Amino acid sequence: MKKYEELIGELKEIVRKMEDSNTTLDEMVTLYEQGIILVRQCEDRLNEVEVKITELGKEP
Amino acid sequence: MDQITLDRWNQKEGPKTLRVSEVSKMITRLLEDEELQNIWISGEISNFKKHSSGHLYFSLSEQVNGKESVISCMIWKGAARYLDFTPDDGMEVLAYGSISHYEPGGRYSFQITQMRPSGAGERALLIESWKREMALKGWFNPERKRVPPRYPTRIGVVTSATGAVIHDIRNVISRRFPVEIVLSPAQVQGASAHEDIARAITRVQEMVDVLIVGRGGGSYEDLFAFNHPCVVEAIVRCPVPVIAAIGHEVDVTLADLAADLRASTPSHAAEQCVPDRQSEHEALMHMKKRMFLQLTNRLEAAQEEINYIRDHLSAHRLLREVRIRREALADIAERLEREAYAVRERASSRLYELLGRLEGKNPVLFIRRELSERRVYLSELSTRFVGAAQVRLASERALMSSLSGILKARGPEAILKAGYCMVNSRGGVIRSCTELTVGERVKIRFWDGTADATIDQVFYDEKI
Repeated sequence: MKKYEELIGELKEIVRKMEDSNTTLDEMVTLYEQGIILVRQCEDRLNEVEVKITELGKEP
Repeated sequence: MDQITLDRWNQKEGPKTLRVSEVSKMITRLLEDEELQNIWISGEISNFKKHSSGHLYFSLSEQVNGKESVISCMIWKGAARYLDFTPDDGMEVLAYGSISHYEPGGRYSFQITQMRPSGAGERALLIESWKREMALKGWFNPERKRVPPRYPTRIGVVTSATGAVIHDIRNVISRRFPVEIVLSPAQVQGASAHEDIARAITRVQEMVDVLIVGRGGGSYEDLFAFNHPCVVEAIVRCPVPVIAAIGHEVDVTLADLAADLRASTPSHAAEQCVPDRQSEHEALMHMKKRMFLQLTNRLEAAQEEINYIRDHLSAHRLLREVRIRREALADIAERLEREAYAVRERASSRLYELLGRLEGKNPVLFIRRELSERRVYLSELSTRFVGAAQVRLASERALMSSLSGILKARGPEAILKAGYCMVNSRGGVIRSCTELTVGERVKIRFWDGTADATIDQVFYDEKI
């Protein structure tokens, strides 16, 4: 599973490409679809309320 | 002293029953011995209680070889007012006062008039010297500070397993961002706390992206472990960024100085560790909007492009375009033709001009024209010549007849007839004998003929 940071990084790259005037319309549609998927993945990740706590033993 | 006391009792004969008050007084007398008056006692505070009246009650204790000794203490409200610190359990103090026996309660206590944290000065000095050493090693250099990752996946926490710190951190993080917290429990107080904290750091450091080292508020003494070089070194050597949240904002330990980031409280440390879920949601919404806007803009632009192209592709426009081109073509053809005609005209007029000039130079014409002119001129000359010749002839004749008369009268004939001769040689008249050479043949002219002669000798009239 990808880290949230990686997902955000990919999303930023997609937004950057979409704002590049050299991107063609076809590419842009594909990018938009990918971007929306990434946004949803990020949101899902954020909505995980669980914070896991692991306690280490004193002597490993 | 015990010995003396026993001796005293031994002086009494037979068992003697003493009254409580007598014993109590004896105890008072014994306890209020000058050795126990106005003395300094050092020890650790325990069972600290502040009575509603303002008096302070607690014990001073000490452990030696596992055996604990305790003395009950109290500070009257009046003296408590002058304490320059707030005493608390576990604090090492130096107290000044006297042992006093409270007969109605059957208890003795150490009544304190002055008290201060013990070793505070020495510890401060020790911390200062550690600080200097660490600064020399560059442990506090700003360029050492690392920036914690924006989106950590595992956060290490070194703190007490039971304290409020881990509770606060957990609360803040679960509210903000889903991550895994790895708690590496440590004894944050006590004689060996520093070793325990350092061990807890090294135990967890390889498993996490960022590390919080935390402890709740406490006295200077409580936080002392966080100044210890072994804790500070563990923080400095930690491969991931360390956020320190030790004590309150005003307490600055050496661990705080060496950490990559310092937080005022454990909750603040947790906030610095993870992004806020809400602002992340907003950022995602913003990116979504940007993408959507970009796509719609691009679509609109594409639509406009298509409209433009369609407009330009219409039959009407095409025909118009063809007509314009055709007109242009006709225009060009006409201009070409005109130009070609002009060129030809210019060339032929030039040709005619040249031909004329050539004609002008034609020798036949020239000669023909000249010839007639010359012929006329010649006949004119001829006429003039004949005329002039006849006139001249007549005048010459007249002159000649007159001259002939003169000549006859004065000419050589008369001279020759008078006896003079003319000597000719080499086609000319010899006027001087110097012109003659011996043996030369000469012609002698007489008036009625000539004779050839040879010069035999030449005589000069004068010596030349």
